[in-house]
Amino acid sequence: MQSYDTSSEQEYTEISLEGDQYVTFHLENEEYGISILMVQEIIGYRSLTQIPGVPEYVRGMLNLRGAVVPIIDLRLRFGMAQRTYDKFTVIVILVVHGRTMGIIVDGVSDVINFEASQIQPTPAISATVNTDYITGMGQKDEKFVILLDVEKMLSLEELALMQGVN
Amino acid sequence: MVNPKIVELFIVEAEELIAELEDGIVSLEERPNDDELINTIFRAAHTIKGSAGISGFAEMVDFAHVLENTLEAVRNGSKQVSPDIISACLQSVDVLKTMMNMLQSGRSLTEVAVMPETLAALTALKTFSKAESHPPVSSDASKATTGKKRRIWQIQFRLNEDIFMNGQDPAMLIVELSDFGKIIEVHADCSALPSFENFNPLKLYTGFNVIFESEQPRSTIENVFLFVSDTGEIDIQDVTHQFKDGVNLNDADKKLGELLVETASIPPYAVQKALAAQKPVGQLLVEQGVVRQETVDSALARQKTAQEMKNNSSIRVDTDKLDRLMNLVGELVTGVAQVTQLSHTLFAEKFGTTENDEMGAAVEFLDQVSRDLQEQVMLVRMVPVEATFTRFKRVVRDLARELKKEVHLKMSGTETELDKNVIEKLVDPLKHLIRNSVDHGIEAPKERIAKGKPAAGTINLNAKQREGSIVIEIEDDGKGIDTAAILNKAKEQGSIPESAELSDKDIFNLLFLPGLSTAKAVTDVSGRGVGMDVVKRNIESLRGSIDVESMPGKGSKFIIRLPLTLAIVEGMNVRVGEEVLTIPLLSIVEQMRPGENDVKSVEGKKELINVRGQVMPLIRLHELFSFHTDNTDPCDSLVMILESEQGKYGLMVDDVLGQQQAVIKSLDKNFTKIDGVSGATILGDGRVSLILDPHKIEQMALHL
Repeated sequence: MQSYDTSSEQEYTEISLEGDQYVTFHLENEEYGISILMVQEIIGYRSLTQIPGVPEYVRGMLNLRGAVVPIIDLRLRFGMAQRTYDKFTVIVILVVHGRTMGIIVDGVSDVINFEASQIQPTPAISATVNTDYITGMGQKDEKFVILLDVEKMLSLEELALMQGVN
Repeated sequence: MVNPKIVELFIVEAEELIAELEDGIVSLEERPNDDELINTIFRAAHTIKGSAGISGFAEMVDFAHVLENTLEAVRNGSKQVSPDIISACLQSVDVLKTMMNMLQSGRSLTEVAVMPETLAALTALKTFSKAESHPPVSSDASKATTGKKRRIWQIQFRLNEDIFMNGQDPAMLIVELSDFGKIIEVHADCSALPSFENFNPLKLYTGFNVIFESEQPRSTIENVFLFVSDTGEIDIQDVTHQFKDGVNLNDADKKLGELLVETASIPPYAVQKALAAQKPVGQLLVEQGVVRQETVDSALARQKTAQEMKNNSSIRVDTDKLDRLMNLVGELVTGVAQVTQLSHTLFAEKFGTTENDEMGAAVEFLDQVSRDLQEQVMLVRMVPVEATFTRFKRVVRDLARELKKEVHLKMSGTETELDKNVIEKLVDPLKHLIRNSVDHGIEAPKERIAKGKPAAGTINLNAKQREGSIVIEIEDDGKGIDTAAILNKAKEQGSIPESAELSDKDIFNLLFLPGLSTAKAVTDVSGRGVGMDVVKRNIESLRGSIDVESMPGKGSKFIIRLPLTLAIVEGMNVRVGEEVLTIPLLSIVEQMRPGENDVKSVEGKKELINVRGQVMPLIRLHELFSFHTDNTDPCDSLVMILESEQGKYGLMVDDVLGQQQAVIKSLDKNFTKIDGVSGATILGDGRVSLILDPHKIEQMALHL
């Protein structure tokens, strides 16, 4: 019945900003960006509960207001060297495929707005990160940010965590 | 495309209606003359049609319409209830269910119309909704002679005041009506009569209410009123269903005054005057000195509250919302526990004492309230087992018919409440057990009569609450379990040694072994040896247990015990290295600190522990989970003796911290299932603790 069609989906009003906003953080000497729409919140590092039988980069779980949230160390996920957590270490809480997860990064830098013209296609040079997980390179004022495809990077299949895989 | 929210609402509503419809149809077979039941079924079908129409599912509307026609034929008596009608109706219920499944998975209903099931159901239904070719058997002589269905009409008309001026007369209309049928009752509605001085004899003040029985169609009646229809209000209604052997069934609910007024024996004001003169019973009692005014007032207040409560109907709440509420309340309890701890410490620091700790008392009160709140929220998740039990009527009916047996399903304790999640997971195991009882338990009617039992077998399905758990029993009065046959079969399969001597109880437990079936012939129903082991596993996954009792020739009884809720487990917190883990209290037998001679290594790797002469495997939890700990000597550690399906074993941990009521959080909501872990919970200090699955841990450690 057509009369119900109008009420079904309301379009969100466009915010006047052009382009998309990214939360940026750093790992080693490089800067990475994640679409701000995926980020739920950013919290300081805190001790985690270990999980048995999972890859090393799954560092454990924490209690986020009653929800049990798995935490992944992005350095280990990307095969970088482990680094002692310090007061700059933060956990970025993301919502990926309806699941709440956290990633440990060296520190959060900024929120940057990239217009489409400021995003270059993925160059084949990045050696540390699998280029499959990169959506592009954001460039603004001499600054390069590697934009990550979090949905792909943190899907259960990619994390080799589907039942029976580990 | 229809708004998904509307579809969602429709699905929820329709599922209930379909369940009601199905239950009604099954019950109708037992009580074919229950008019109220027929009306309920009809209403359900009608509402499904209506809702489907609103939601825009034309295919469903069309289908429900045919079903409604058949039901209408039953309702107006032109069709007698027969097993074939019941089957046809049930068949169509199945089609409706298929439609619901399709809607749920977001598929269009267009293909439904051409599915063989749909066509079969439609054909079956249409044979019954067609006009009867031979007269139905009925006590009513007039029905039998005419062969056509007489209908009873209620005609209410109030004509224009000046109707006499046009040469019309209501009395003539009634006389004309009587040419087409039998006038049962005529009532005059005198409520519009003016006072005597204003009365004009040339005007018509009365309305009429005629109950009329006729086999003529509605159009004939309408034709009678053809010439007055534009000058007054005329309402013609088919009220056949309200009458039985010429008696208006609605009269049963009417007050005496109403009836007297309706038949015009007395004017309405006389009744009102008489009623006004009557004193309320409370006032009379007070006057007689039997009771005090205050007592009456408080009773009246109570009555009012109760009436309001009764009117407070329920609302539908998404279980996700309940889960979130549950989470928040759990957090609140944890938070309050932290505040309690802090306030004690702070008070002691500031005043050097914990005596007269007002802050502490206030916080403890808060703690109590939040725990009560938690319990209340938990209760909200509880639903009665009735809806689940009711659907088994159909299962029993269909299966009994198929096997040519007579089986009654009796239910009791249907008001018993269980966590919604538990109920959902219980449906399949229960269905299996009930099918088993019908198939294997209850004997064929001839066999039963030969044994001196009634031809119809009975299955009792009973639910009750006992000591913090729910007990569900399925009891049949069939032939009982053949222990010798089970024993032979188990020996044949090599499940137990040839020489084994087992008690009856042990033999019944063999029933739950995979692959064991004593059925002589494998049928569609059971006998394939899959099932009972699955039943047991499902029930155990709900942290429940199942037992069997049986008497040869008398029947069998399956007893299922379940926890009240899946949301909470009584747990023991243990420490391994820096990690705190939770073990379900139910699986803990005891804890011990082994002596040097109690632990033995076998074949270099596996370890055994001797608990007062009983030898069982020892599992080092830190090794199994690869957790770091400095405690690697069993003699410095604690060993928890746990009981699992396979038997007992020892689980080595560093320390025991204490008991906790653990609110269970699922891990696969945000993550994935983890071997050896059934879930997680939040500790008093806000940290996450894994809840161990003792059965899985044993499997992981011993059957690698």
